[in-house]
Amino acid sequence: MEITTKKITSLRVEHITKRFPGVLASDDISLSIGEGEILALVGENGAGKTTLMNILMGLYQPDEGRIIINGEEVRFRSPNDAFAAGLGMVHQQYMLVPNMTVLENIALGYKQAWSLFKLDLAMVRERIEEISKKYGLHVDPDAFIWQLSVGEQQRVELVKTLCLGARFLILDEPTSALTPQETDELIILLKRMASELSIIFISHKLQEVKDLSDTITILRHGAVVFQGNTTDHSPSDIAALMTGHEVELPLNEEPPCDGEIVLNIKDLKVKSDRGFLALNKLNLSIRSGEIVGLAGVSGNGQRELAEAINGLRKVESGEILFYGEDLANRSPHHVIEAGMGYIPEERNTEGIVPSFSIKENLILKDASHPEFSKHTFLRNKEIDKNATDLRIKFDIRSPNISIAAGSLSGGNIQKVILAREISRKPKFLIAVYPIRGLDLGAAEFIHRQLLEKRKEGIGILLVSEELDEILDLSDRVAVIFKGEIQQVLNRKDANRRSLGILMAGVKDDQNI
Amino acid sequence: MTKTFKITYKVTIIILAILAAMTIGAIILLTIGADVLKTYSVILFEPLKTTLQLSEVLIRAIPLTIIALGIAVAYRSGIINIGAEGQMAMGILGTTAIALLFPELPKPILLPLAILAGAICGGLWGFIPGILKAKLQVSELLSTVMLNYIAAQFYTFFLRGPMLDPAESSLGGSGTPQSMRLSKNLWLERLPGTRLHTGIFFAIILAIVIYLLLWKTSTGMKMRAAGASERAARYGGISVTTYLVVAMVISGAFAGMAGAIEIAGVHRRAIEGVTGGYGFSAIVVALFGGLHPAGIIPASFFFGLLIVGADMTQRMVGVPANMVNVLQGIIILVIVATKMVLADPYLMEKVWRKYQKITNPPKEVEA
Ligand SMILES: Nc1ncnc2c1ncn2[C@@H]1O[C@H](COP(=O)(O)OP(=O)(O)OP(=O)(O)O)[C@@H](O)[C@H]1O
Ligand SMILES: [Mg+2]
Repeated sequence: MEITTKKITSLRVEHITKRFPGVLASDDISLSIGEGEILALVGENGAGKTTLMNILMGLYQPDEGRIIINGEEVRFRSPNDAFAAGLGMVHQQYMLVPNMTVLENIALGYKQAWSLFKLDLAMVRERIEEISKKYGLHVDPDAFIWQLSVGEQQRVELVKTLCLGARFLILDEPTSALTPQETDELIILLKRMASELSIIFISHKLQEVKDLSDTITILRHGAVVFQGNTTDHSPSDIAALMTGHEVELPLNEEPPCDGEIVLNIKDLKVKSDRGFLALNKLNLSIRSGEIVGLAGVSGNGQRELAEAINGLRKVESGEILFYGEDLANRSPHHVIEAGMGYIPEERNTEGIVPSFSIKENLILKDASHPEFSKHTFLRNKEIDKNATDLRIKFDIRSPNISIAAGSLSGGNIQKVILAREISRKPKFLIAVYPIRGLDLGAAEFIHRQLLEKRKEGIGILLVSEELDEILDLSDRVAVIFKGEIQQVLNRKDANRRSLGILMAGVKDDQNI
Repeated sequence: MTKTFKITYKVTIIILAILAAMTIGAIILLTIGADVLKTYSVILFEPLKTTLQLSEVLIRAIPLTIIALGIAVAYRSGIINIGAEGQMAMGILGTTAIALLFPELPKPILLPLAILAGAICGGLWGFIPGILKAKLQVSELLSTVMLNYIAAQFYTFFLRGPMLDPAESSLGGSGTPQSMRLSKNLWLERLPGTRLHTGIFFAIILAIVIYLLLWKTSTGMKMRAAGASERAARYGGISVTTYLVVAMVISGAFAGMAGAIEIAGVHRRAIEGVTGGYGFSAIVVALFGGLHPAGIIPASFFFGLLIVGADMTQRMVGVPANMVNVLQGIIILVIVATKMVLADPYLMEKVWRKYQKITNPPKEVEA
């Protein structure tokens, strides 16, 4: 296909249908986007949003239906065809090569820099700088992908797509991993960009949808159930249209908790992948039956803290006292046995074994537990029952419990992890971005679950960048900045403003 | 989708693949001026014509099965064992040593002991690359290949030195370095008139054991988790390095046992060159059999057939055995491709819908 630089003045899809084994992922979908328009695509987890976008990008072939750009029918056999036509997509799961640098990753797709025997990295670097400047998106071209937080990787994806010259942007949950500030910035940026290009934007956060989009399309079970102009509807209208009922996120309204301290972190020093100190003498204590929100811009040591507690990262010095026992540098197995539950940030590569079935993933940590194995032989009945129950309770949308967990939609993968970690009856829970990628209904459910666990006397460390989530659930809020706890606030003293200032690294109380 | 359709679909694809492989092979055979049809019929059918020949095929399938099972365990646990050839040689040495040292032990003791010795020696040869990878991140590709050379040297040393048949050294003998004939108490029963031995039951039992281990036990599930996603396994509290070493020990022990069985069943003495590339062919057998016992057994049989068939074409049609190796290569490529097609559920669904449209067009579209 010829590479064109013509503007995309209109894009239409007509009667797109796509079936996966056991699932109708797209059910006769038609929609159209005009020049400079921003279309928001919303819907529950597993509604078929990502699938539809993957079809637009040539990753999947539709079973039926067609795609029409500028009045001409197109057929994309691969993403390359879609790039050539000017479409660019930032995926929900990042598609970057972990052991290559940002620069190399972008160079991979940047065909202009390729010649027969040479890859012109200087040219790619220039291009990255140009795009970074133009849109105010800072990336370090020489950082390795595996060193970056999810939020930073997201930014790299966006820069990459723009570098490759996309004139029609598809963003699949671009803000789910961003900080509130970054989200605001991105929204402003996208609005500005809409003068040059059209955008399809997928999000579960309806406020953003409201702020950004011109039109809204709602999918349910693969079919379009609503199309309309954004201005005519409030976020709660949209939520009701999407889920079919009113959604109300629960609040933690219990009095401050006075349980005993169960997790006590003292002077913890931990190195990051890049070798510098990610945690520098961090101190934090959490009581049983208490939710402590850990607020902070991602990349300030949250990941390292969670990994160090769970035995997945070496502790340089300091103590992690858990019910009196020091967990520093113990094996992950030991930490799990001690009663720690952990919802990790990386759901696709860490939280599940993608090629394993849902039911196997649900007992990943408990394969040797007498409940699921007897004389090392797996008890299939119990395993099936466990999975069947959890699938219903956590509303995991899948044709059955035996399909590979990796083929689930992003939100449903997250539900598998949550189901496992919450149902294992841990004594303590470390929840890193627990509702990232969940639809509103699911988020509500998970929040209720966390509050219930709290009532049962379980301590929870809630790592999140969503201030609303933190404020809704926490008894106390600790703000992390550059590997140290800036300050710990009681719920009544915490608000968006005070947290925002602390998160930016300002410590002096007078400035609040 | 109906069951009949599914089966027909799969069978059709397999038939198409076989035709494709035969066509490519035919072109090559034609270029060297061979009689295509005759060559094919000799390779594929001649070995099946008499019980004797069939038994020879099975004899070769036995070590292939046992070794491939071990390789599958390692592969599923995330480590690629290409050192089975050396592990098998070490196993033979262990078995031979026991049989030479205690020839008088009664059979019910000597036989298990000798097989155990083979398993231990092979297991040790698997343990070394396993622990090197677990502790020092030494690539197993490097260490297993290197250990193959070391094992080969050991093997030569022992067969030409301490274990050499006294008859060979004084009288010249057969000219091939070999041990003396081992104690009768080590011998496996044979089907009268053939060399087919009871090791075949042993291989089948091991296949069942591996199936149970990998898919029915928590240990096996953890090993597979470690192999499928190291990071998630670590997160799940699974000690990836431990299982890696365990998997390599099992893998090596299986190769060692294959050696023991081969000696006790077929040769009844250790001979130089007796491993004969089984350790390498078994890698292909394992992959080919989908790293699953139920696939490995037929794959072993098929490869046994090719090995015997290659011998026969050389004798009967004058097509060099090397040519048959080329054919084997083609068959491997075609089968790998076919397996990918078969594993694609989307393609199957597509064909199913096309098929439905053709068979009953109007009503189905509405539904
Ligand atoms: N490669 C695949 N193989 C099989 N089924 C798939 C595949 N990709 C998606 N599905 C199924 O298609 C349906 C739609 O998935 P999709 O990823 O499009 O949902 P989504 O709307 O993006 O959800 P989320 O908000 O959770 O990201 C789901 O039921 C999912 O399990
Ligand atoms: Mg999605």
